[in-house]
Amino acid sequence: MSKLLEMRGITKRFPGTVALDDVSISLDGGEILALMGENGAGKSTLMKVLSGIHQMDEGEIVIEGEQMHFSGPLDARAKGIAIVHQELSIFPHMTVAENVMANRQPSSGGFVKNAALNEEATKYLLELGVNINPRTRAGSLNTSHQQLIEIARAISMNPKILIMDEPTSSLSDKEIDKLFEILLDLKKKGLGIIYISHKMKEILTLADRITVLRDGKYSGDLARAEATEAEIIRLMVGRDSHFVFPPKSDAGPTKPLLSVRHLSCGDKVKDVSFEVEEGKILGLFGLMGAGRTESARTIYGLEGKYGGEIEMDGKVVAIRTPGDAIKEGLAYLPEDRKQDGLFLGMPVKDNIVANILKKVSPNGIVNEKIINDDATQMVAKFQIKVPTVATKVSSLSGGNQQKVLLAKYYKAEPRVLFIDEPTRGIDVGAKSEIHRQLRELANSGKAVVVISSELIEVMGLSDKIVVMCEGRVTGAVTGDQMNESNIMTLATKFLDSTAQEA
Amino acid sequence: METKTLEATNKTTFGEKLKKLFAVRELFMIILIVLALVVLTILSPNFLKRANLVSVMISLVPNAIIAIGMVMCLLEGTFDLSVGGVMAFTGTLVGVLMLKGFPIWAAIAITLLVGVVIGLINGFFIAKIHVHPLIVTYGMQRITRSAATILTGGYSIYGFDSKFGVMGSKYIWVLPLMVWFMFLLVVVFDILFRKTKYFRQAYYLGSNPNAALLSGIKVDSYKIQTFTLAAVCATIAGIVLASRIMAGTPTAGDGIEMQVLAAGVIGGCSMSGGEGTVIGCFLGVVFLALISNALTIMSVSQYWQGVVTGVILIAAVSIDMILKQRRSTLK
Ligand SMILES: Nc1ncnc2c1ncn2[C@@H]1O[C@H](COP(=O)(O)OP(=O)(O)OP(=O)(O)O)[C@@H](O)[C@H]1O
Ligand SMILES: [Mg+2]
Repeated sequence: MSKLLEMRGITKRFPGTVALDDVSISLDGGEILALMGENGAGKSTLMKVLSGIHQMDEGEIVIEGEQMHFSGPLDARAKGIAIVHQELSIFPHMTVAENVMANRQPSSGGFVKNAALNEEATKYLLELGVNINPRTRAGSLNTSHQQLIEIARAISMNPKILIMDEPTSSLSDKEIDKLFEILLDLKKKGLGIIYISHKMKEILTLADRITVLRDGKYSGDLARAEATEAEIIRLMVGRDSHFVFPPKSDAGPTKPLLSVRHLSCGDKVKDVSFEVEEGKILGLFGLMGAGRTESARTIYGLEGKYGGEIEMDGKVVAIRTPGDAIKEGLAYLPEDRKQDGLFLGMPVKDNIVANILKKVSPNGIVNEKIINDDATQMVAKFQIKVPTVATKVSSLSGGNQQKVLLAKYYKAEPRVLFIDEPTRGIDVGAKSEIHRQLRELANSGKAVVVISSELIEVMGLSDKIVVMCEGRVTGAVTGDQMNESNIMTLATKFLDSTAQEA
Repeated sequence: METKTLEATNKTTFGEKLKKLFAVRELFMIILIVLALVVLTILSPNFLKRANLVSVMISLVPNAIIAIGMVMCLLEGTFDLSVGGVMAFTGTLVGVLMLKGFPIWAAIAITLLVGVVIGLINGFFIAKIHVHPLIVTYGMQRITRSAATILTGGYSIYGFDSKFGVMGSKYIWVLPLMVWFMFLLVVVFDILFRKTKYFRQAYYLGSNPNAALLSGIKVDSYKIQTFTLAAVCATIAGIVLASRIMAGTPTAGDGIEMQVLAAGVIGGCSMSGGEGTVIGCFLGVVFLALISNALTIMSVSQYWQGVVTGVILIAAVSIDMILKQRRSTLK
């Protein structure tokens, strides 16, 4: 029997880059193949070739022994290939149902059958454990629901080959568990699944086999039995390396830069108090919906009116808008990068200096040399994989776009940097580089507040962790109290026992 | 059991259908229009007279027909500035053809075909060569208006077969045929845009062009079809107008593109795409027509009409934006 899928000798060039160079992969029915590699290694590009979005320059795609020629996404879909893209591709103005069944609405005689449309969409959403009205506008939903809509869209196509490009980047643990259940179920039904993620834990639980790419080339294959984190990383970066968190601050208590007292806002933030000390990294941990992001947004002036007080250097400040917050030396790097942070159509360098235009334009005249120098320095510091600093951000790989955003906020030299999910979508190597940069920022007399749902990351990075649950602060841990069971107890304090199990 | 559940689902869908049909914006438009009607009736005793109302209806026919094509453009986050020129050109072309001895049906058919070609040209340059719609359609506006002038030597042309005038001369009940024809088009296209897979693509395209491409919508050819519909609507408007006034005038439809765009935005279309309905835009056209009628019958000086229209335009959209923000912060 021939393989479900074989991609042989795939080469794909973009102006200035060879994104894929003679890459071959294969996939069986009933198999979950993990595709790994550093940011910019070519994973998404390979999947875009397979799903008909990019046309390869060389190579062949063979499905069940039959040679394929895809000239567009519809061709690939017709052959049973469905993909969940790394970038969200939601239609914000349209209903949830219209999003799930995008351009495939049940219809008769050209007329959309609305009842059937909603029913169909609901069916797939419920399978994923999502209970939302199919008539809701997709744009009004949070990112995790939007991501689930896309997953439902792909599954609803009843594909033979299901491609998932970092599908869990904004899902909660519970949602991820549900998704994995479904993937394992689909696998049992004989589907071939290609799964891309930078989260080791996911890969090691889910994958039957791992194919690693490096710099656009095939780097190696690992069967589940022989796969270890170290081995995967060796194939990814081409040498042995192990990543450790940077050493924590050894200073004792320092003076608080930012103090938040009895902050409340809406029903998501209730009487939140904490202090951010100079030279320290503070972790803000909680489960999905604990109010971490909302607290940060409130402090940054994004939620408007709030109760309680915000103090900088011991003085009460009024923050009504992000402008006020920036003046006080705050910066907030949002969860939703694409929407809130990048100028996709502009060059990398202009993105990096976007927040410091004054500094790069002495006497009001933009100085290209300063911009180039600054940008080049940041590209090196954050290991951004990009041909030149003049390259448009839109042509970067997903992870590298995130690094550009990090560089931009880093460059703005805030006194207190709030950073929401700092390493989402970033490969393991770059992750530890970013951790080092954050520590360096703190060591230089600034302060960093890290919001992350990855407990290991928060624990490894923070000098102190403030834990939230249901909009309230339930405690803070430091030093040797900083362990998983302590933190999880605090994070689930107000949740009933059933929710704790889930 | 069976019937009960059926009833229940029917009920909700009916309620929802109503809600959808009068999605907040349309309701806002209707309130605006009723408000305008009340104010106008109080201000001018002549307003409610049948003759006046009928003349308002007649005057808005070209705008309403053009609005249909414009809605499709707006849904995709684009616009067509050539519609006024196309309307003038095709309105004179159909006349010239008839004067040349073509039978009425042939003149109309040829003119429609020319409309299609104009739309294809617009669409080709926009979708395939990637010239900005502003340039292409503005250029086409200049070309077509010029062509209309060349075609007629700069004068209006008369003397068509009286059968051609049926759109304005034949009345059903109290309204001329052209008004019924407009209603028919508006209702049909409103339904098509709400219900058909083909026209729903415009919403997908406007809401997220990139995602639309990924979900297999043939973006380029759809864009071309969009500009073709816009040009065909303008052509129909041109022919209908020529039929009503029994003349072809090269200056017809001057500035109509901006009026229709404004009507679209008042009626709930977003300039960035993804939002809007044909009914909404039609109500916008009605509202603007009422305003201009009011200014005329209250004999507001020609000099001041622009000021009043401009102020009302900005005020109407502002109120809606404020209400919208209220609603979203309440949520
Ligand atoms: N449309 C494009 N134009 C030019 N270059 C591109 C384009 N898309 C991708 N590239 C380049 O191809 C290379 C591979 O990118 P790709 O998106 O496949 O990486 P990836 O492995 O998915 O990385 P990540 O983990 O960050 O998502 C990168 O160097 C990227 O800059
Ligand atoms: Mg990628």
